[in-house]
Amino acid sequence: MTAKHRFGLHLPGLLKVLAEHLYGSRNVGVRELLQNAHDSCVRRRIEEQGPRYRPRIDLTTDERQQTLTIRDNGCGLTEEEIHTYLATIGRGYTRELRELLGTDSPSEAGELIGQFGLGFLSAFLLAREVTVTTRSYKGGPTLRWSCSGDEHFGLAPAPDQPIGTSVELQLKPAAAFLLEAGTLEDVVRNYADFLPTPIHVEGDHAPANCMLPPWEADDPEEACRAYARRAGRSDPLWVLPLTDEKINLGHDTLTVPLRGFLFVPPSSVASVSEHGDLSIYIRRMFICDRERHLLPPWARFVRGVIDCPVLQPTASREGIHQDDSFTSVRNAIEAQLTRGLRNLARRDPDGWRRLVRAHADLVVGWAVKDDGFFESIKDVVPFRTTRGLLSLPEYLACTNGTIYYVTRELGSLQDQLLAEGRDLPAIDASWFEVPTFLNKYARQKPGVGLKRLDVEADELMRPAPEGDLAPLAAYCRAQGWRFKVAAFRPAEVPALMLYPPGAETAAGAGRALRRKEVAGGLAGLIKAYVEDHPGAADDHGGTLYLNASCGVLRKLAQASPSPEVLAATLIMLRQLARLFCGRALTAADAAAAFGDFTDNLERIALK
Amino acid sequence: MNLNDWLASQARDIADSGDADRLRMLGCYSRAFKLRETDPDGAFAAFTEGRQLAQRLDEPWWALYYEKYRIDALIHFKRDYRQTIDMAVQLVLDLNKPGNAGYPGRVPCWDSLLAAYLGVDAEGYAEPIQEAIDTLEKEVPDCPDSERYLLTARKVVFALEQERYQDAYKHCMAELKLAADDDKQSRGAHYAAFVFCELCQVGATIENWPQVARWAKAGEELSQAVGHQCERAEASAWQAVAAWHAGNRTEAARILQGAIATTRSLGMPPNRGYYEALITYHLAARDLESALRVREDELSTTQNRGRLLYECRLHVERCRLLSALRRLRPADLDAARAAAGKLRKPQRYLDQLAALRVS
Repeated sequence: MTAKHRFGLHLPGLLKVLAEHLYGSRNVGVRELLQNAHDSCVRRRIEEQGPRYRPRIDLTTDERQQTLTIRDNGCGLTEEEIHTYLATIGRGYTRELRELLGTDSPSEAGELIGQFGLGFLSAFLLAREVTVTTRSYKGGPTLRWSCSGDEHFGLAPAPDQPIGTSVELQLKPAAAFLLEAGTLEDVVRNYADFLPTPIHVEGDHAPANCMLPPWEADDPEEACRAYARRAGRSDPLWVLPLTDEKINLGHDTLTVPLRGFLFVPPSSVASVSEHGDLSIYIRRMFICDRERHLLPPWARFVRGVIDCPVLQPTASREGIHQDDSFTSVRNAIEAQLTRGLRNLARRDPDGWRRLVRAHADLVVGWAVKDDGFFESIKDVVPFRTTRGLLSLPEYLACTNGTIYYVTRELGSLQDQLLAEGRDLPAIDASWFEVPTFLNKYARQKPGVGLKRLDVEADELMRPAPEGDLAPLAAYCRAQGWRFKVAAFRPAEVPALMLYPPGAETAAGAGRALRRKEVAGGLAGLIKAYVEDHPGAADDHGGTLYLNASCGVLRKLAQASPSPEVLAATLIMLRQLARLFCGRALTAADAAAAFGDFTDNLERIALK
Repeated sequence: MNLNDWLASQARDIADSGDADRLRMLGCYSRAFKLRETDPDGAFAAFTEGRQLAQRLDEPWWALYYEKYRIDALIHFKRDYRQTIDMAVQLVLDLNKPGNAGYPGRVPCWDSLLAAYLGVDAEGYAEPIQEAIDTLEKEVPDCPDSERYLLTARKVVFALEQERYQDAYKHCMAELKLAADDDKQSRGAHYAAFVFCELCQVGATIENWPQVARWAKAGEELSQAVGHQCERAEASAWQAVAAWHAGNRTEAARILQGAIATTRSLGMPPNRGYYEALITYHLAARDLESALRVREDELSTTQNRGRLLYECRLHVERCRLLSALRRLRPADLDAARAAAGKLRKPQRYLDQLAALRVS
């Protein structure tokens, strides 16, 4: 039979670990002591039931002595309670009282915050020596407990003091920053702003905490909006106060107690790393901010503050556990957010439009991944086009059911010209998620086509018989130029140059090979690339489109000009087209093209 | 200064400056790497965001850095080669721009170009690929460094593509030696996980099943340790093949199901070696129908992805299986010939197809 043995406990080591490594920030130590003080006040009110009791917490410092004192007028401790709770790690009176009150008086139970019986240890995060002076409302002497963070503590009678507890911390050098002016006020506002117990710093008659969360104000929506304005330094586009939510568990329903609000700031950073996040309170005590997993993943443009007692804090209470309660709260938030956005879209279409437009890049980015979200925004989200911001239904109303887009920022002037020549706006799809979104949209909408103008601009050209421009075509052919006769708009444009995909890279590769700029061993691969793009590697690799709709060209063809004039004119048109296209040109190419243009202009003009 | 030193000093400077935009730019890499197996599109988007941020912030070296990884994401995460050669050629040309002369990541950029050509048509471009490998062999120091690992890995792939299995084995062993000598154990383990999968392919060609079992086990354990789910599934599939040949049929079926389940849970298309293992398994069991199903699944994840040689070989293999099942139709041969027609050197495959009989 296997003998059972008991674990040994090295108390100094355990104390050191709990006190110094459980918490990520020293500020949390003050929060834990404030929370103990608050629970003590709640306990006194519940147990003593004195009608004139006014709870109060005071924080005072002594820079010379390097001390911080947290004093409350709560219930105080008897000698027995000091041994049972204060000096027993992992056992806290608050948890036991909450369990006692749980069914009979849930609202009073809900005011108590402490859970683990560990919070007091955080005093040793801040202090090398802690002195607790306490007098219980139950009577008995004032007692002084002191400890230096080892396994021993002292306990002795002390001079009388009013009912309550004062915790004096002999601060470590690393915690001396708490003595700096304004620091304690900041800590109080950060962690305990919504605690209902007034907290006074350095005897100030006005409490440092506001004591009332905005969602409990007389006009919660306005108060939440004002809070969001302060937090985000700008007016939110939309605010949604949260309420308890009944969620369906299949076999049963569960009511998730929820307080707080969600809001949408006026803008966001378009980034795949941008996340919606929440500040989390539990029983009005701040736990953490930037919690990213309680909002649905598509809600990257949403921020918020929630207070939810069913969330389970970690032992250090700097984060929350992702357990079943967490999932229930997340479902409750998603349900209210979805309902709220749907109502906004129905009741305030302009507001909904403003919201989607303000976060268009994020909205587009997430919609490509989330089909449900895509459905809800696909017809609302606006895109930059050559005619300003347009939603896709607005855009498609201007086109023949085809989406024309460019992947370089608003494309080249030529892409825009060709599109507008056909009375078609072009969409700027330079942001990397936009082409994917447009693809998804076109796949889902029967009859909607998709054309990328920077590689498929020839789609906007209508083939035309060469006959109309026969002499011009003959000259181009004789020169060995790649050309096509096509009809396109605007009719004022005589000729354009279009390059095939990869032409610019191939031209650049050809140049690099000629200049021997390619690292030796890679020359073969680069050469293979150039060979795979025949014609594109020379500087004139594009195709010249002669516009059969252009009146001047037709007149030129019919006028039978002298070969010299015809040649000069076509050379000028070709160089004009190259220059206007602006692609596959180096500065030297452009200078040469201008030179060619002016030479031929001179030839015609001075003839 | 090598690339790692530059990255480390940049990371320090950016962290010290607290510049939020540059911090976001810096973070794009780790986000992308985390997403690579579950959401390769997301990984590509994160690299693209990194490049766009770099361009907006006027950081040309970071733009090069992220462009290289965009290409690598297409090659290794999405296994979509359609744009990779265009992008890699442009990247190599961009290295020539005056401000990029001192960029310390030149060799990784060259490697992307090499990897792109290897994946598109390693036979058609065999001569320039060999020339590039020979040059890099001289440029890259022969010590455990990322550049040497990458070059050795390319040599393995090139040898496998050309069915030079002895050479592939030799290069695999050289890469394992690099890993063994590497001070950075995690880096060595990262590369070695791939090598063991490739060794399984080599071992299968000579039907050395006990050796395949050992390599597959090592590959599976290493992949698990370094978090490569795709390679873990591939190594498991080879374990299943080895177990089958060792007579452990029930165990083999169980391992194979595990490998398939792992692969299905990933967003990244499986490796060629994974499919090869599955088909080897089914052929060992003389289950031609299942082998054909796997081949067709492999073809569906490969076709129109710019992997011209691979796609052509899959068509040929599919036609062979259909012929063995007496179900080969002219349309199947036409599709295979069309795939061969995209190659620089199609004749070998056209001859193989000509030898097959239509049912």
